[in-house]
Amino acid sequence: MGNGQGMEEQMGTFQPQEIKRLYKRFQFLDKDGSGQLEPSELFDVPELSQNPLVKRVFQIFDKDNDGKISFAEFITGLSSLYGNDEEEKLKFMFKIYDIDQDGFITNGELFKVLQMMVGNNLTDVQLQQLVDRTIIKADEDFDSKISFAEFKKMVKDLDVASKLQMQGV
Amino acid sequence: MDPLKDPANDRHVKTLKPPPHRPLMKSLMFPDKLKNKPDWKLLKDHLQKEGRVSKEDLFKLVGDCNKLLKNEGNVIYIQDPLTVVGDIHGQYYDLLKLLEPKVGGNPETTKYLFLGDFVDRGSYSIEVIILLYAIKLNYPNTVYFLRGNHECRQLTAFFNFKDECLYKYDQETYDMLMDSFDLFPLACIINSKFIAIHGGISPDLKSLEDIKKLDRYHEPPKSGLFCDLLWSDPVDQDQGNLDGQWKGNEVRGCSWFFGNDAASKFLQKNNLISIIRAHEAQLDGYKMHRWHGGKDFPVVITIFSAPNYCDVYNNKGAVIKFENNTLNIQQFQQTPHPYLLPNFMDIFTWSIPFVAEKVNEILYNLLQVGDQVDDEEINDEDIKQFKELTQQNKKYDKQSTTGSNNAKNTEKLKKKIIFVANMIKMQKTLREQSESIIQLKGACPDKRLPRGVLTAGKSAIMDALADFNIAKNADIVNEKMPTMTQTPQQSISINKSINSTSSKTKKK
Repeated sequence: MGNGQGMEEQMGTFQPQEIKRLYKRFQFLDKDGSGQLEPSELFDVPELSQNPLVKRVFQIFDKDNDGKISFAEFITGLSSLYGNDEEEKLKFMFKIYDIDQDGFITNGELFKVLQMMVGNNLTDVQLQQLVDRTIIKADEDFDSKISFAEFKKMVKDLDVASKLQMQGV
Repeated sequence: MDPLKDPANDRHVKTLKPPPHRPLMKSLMFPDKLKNKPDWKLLKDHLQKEGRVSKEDLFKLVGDCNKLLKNEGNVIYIQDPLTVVGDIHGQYYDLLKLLEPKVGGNPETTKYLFLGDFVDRGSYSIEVIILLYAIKLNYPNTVYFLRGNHECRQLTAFFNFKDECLYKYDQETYDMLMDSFDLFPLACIINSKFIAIHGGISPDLKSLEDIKKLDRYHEPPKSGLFCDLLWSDPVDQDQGNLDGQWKGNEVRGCSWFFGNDAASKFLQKNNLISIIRAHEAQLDGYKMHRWHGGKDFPVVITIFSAPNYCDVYNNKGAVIKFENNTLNIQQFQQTPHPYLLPNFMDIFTWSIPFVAEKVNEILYNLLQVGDQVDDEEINDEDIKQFKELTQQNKKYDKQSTTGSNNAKNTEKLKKKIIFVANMIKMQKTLREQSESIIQLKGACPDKRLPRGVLTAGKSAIMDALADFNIAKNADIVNEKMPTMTQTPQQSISINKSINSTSSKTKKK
């Protein structure tokens, strides 16, 4: 169990026994034993083969953008979704759409993420019309993109936090 | 007005021009050169691009038009040449086609009479109202509106015009528009020969005086002459045969069917030739009710100007063009309109439930991998492992280390995993339900037309008449006057993939 000191720091919302359990999970997922999760190790989970957001979640967890998820990144990613911090969950939801994570959801990013989920059920033109209209509605400072503050306003009636409710390991 | 910009230069469909970013400027909507009249041509283009109009400007527009409407009588008199328009039902992009020179005619040089039902069912009722009011303000003596049964509080609240008002503006705006509809005249005499109304005649209608005596400046009542003018229907029978002159109209849940007896008597007594009305969808956009046989002038003419009504009826629209006392029908096909989610839902409201479910599924599966836990249970292996773990790390466990606490922790873990599994199941069910609700309600823009699954044979239905009749039969419940306790109902279920949000067929 390398990374001893780092692990203590990442405990975050987890109890020690939960961290140990998560480490077991991590090890199991890490099929090649490299100590990091490569994309294929997530994509190859059979139950996730039809899930269009695996790549997005992987990229969000991969904080240093090196194309792999370390155990520290694994724990940190999960901790933002556990517990009751509403702001953290809204931030996570925002990051799903903010592909380059520059703090703004642009027209193209919103289109791309929606397309992952919508597939062929809408034409490009139809989806573009929905995207344009949503941005116009959300965009209060007229910079033609959606900031985290503008996003929070748009979704305030949706109770995002309780939708991402996970009680622990 | 400037379209939405693309600062990151990543907008996907570059060939599609985005909508204007801001509402139309007041100085452009009411330019000095027009001296207080709105620039209807500019408005027409702005609205066509899905541009918006500020609440303040809308109030001014409606307020100015109200002054004209209030001074018109319950019955108005017009001579040809004239274009008569039937139901529009919020189909703004079809209204634009109808106003073209080759169809209804340029409003600058053409007299227009609209027979009502401007709002509800389609999703651009606000735009229809804005443009028509602007046109009337420019041509006050050649453009006229009659009231349809949908121009009232009861129907607009039940259908989707109120929703549209609340989405695009607010309650105050909705109330203001309802007050404006109260001012619409009820009937028109064309060339001293034809009577034009939205619905039909009434047992309480002996002469035009009866209409003129009405106080029209309020919500239409549920029965009586005022109601009948907006609600009644000619009987659906080739000769207009009807036992007795009037039959209770069970399709509408109010008012009457009238037949040849009643109609001919009324026309003769009042020196009129024919009743021109709207109110009923028609496959060809119009219907001649030739109750006197083929040679004579039809007793009733129905005109309907909303092509592909509700995006599913697959009908043509039509207008009547009166010229030199002759009557011509001009048909027109549907015009495509921008794509909308049901009830003007934005992309986040639409997608976030799905995103949450998919994220939860990822987390659940990441954490379940290796233990073969199925939905409802944790296996004994798991419990053993956990027990060992907690025993190894007693010194980290801040709680007391009695055996009962270990059991408690195990129980806790079990509960947590079950909770997560149930959460995912519930979200999946909710999402599937809401998708099928969207599928059910998505056929009609106003989410009222029910949709379900058609048994094999859907692909065989190419015949427009079949489509039309299926749609009409499925939708017939929505032709009824709503009651207080009524909720949108399903009658026959059909599945139409036109404009579907999902092309998946419903699971059997």
